[in-house]
Amino acid sequence: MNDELFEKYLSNRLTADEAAALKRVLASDQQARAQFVQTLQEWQLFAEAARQITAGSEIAEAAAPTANDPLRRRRPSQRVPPLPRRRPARRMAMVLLPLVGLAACLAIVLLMPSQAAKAEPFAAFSMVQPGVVLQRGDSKLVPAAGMALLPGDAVSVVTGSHASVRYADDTRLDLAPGTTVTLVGGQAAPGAALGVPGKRVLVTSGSVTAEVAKQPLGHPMQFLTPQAQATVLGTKLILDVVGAATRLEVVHGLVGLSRRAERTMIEVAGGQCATVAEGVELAARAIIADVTVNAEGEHRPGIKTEYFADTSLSKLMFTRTDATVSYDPGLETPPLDISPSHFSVRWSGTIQPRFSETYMLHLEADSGVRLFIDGKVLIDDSAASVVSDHQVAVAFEAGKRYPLRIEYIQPKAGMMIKLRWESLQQAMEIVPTERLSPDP
Amino acid sequence: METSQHHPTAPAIVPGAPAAGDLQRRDEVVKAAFQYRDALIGYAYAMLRSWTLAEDVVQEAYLVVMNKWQDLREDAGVFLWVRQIVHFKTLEAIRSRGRETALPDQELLDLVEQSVTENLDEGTAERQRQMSASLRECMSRLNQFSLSLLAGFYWRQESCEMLADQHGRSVNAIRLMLSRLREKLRTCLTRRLEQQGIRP
Repeated sequence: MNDELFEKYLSNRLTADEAAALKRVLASDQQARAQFVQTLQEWQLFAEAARQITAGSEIAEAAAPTANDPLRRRRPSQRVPPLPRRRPARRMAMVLLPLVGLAACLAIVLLMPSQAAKAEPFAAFSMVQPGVVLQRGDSKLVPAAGMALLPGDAVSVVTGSHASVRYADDTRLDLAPGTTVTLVGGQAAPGAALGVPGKRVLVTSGSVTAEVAKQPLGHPMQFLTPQAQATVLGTKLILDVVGAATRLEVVHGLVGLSRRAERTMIEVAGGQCATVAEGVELAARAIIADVTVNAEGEHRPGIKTEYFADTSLSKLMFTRTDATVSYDPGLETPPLDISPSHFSVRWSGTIQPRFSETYMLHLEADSGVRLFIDGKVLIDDSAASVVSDHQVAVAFEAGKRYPLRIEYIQPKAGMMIKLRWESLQQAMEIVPTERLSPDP
Repeated sequence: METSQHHPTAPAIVPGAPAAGDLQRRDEVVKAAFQYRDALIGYAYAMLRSWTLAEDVVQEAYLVVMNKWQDLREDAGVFLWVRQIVHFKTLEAIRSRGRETALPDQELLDLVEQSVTENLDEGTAERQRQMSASLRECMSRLNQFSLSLLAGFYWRQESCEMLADQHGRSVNAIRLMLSRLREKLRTCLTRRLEQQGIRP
């Protein structure tokens, strides 16, 4: 109760009644006064550290003077970029790297039209569920079906919601939960108004299903993600931005796909898919039956991570793809989504060494762990309760993918685990994202 | 010095102050005063509840320190002296602010000031400094989302409602995330301090 009063006071949000209550507390109780100062110190530490760490990033850019400080004029609104949100279970959890946001911001800057240009509606929402936010300039709007969209509008769809957009030429976009897109260009006449003749959709995160009407010659529709550029003349496609990878699946039609940093383009035809990610060959492959699993031979980076609300790896809470196995000391995202104690985690996928030699795998953890390589248990210390650096030597062949499974049991609170490797040629490091894959 | 006229609210000149030109002494005083910067900003913030104003106030207080270092008695503590200057400067800022907004509840401000004065001494200021470094290490491991929440809530003083709107989450979800982040950071901070042999 006191904590709430203290926090409201410190954030300038105390009502008259609460002010009276706070006065009573501070006047009567010396311990409460000490507690108040503790809260103040913590408040300051968090504020200062957050400010310093975000300095130089886009968040610091947004860190204008206090929101409710009457004496300070707020800088022009610079919002924190939209968040990566958890994806529906069908498509795996999405983890956007910080660079994704930055790249997206850059792309927006590059693609955003001059404010001087007059924007005219070029598309409209055909369906909007609650939980969709339309960012237009500095304003956040709650859209409704039929509402017109202007070039430069950004649409965010929260988990559990859905939205559809229809262009004048009947091109349709379905935005899945957790998706953020910015719509640019799309004028009927090449070069009209904003100087971006073809339709452009910047997909910052999430999943977009598009049914693209035949586009004017020389002005294809383009989908841009932090990693990829998909050029569409007329087709139906699904574009997933998952972690540091973009996956394109073409239902029918033909799509040109390239890395953002390169001009080399491949053609992805109906029934094919391709992934753009560092270390993954850019090639079109046939879609296998379950489109949520990658096509044969195509390995996405990262590792599959399953979180369980018990210590027996049975009550699955959610699944996501993590970049690496490295949590210290439980400050990253997973603990935010699961119970802070009494849980278990399973990482699974493959590990691909660079060199043919004996590696020393280090599995450091603060609780019980098991490590399986190629189906064999190499480390089994499921009863551990203190930080231990388990080590095991494994003879690897370069480039071969070995099935990997790690199980972590935490009957108490906190979470610390790191998977590192080293060998004669391999310096000790956290096993990097591109050497892991969530795919079998 | 002419600048001394600009700070009429600084503590009174103490007889027997060191002679002018004692640069070493000046450096010691100034250095010691700067060591307590964070704690002094916290002190000012407790009454002003604006980080930018609190920083301005402490900055002005340091100008006084630079110009009136001779006023500090040799046997007096630098922290208490600078805190007193900050106190005066804070009251000035509140009065100045009162010209633009309603003056805050004086009784409440007095109680807050009493709380801070009772509980903020050189020892706690030093501990805060150590904690600050450790906390930054803990925070450097947070993802951008978590940092943006913390920076929004604690630095920019955005409400949970504003953060929820910005991030497309429910207010309760934001509260829960902040609460968990706090717990994680407290745990991390405690561990790091223990590793350094510092009692949290």
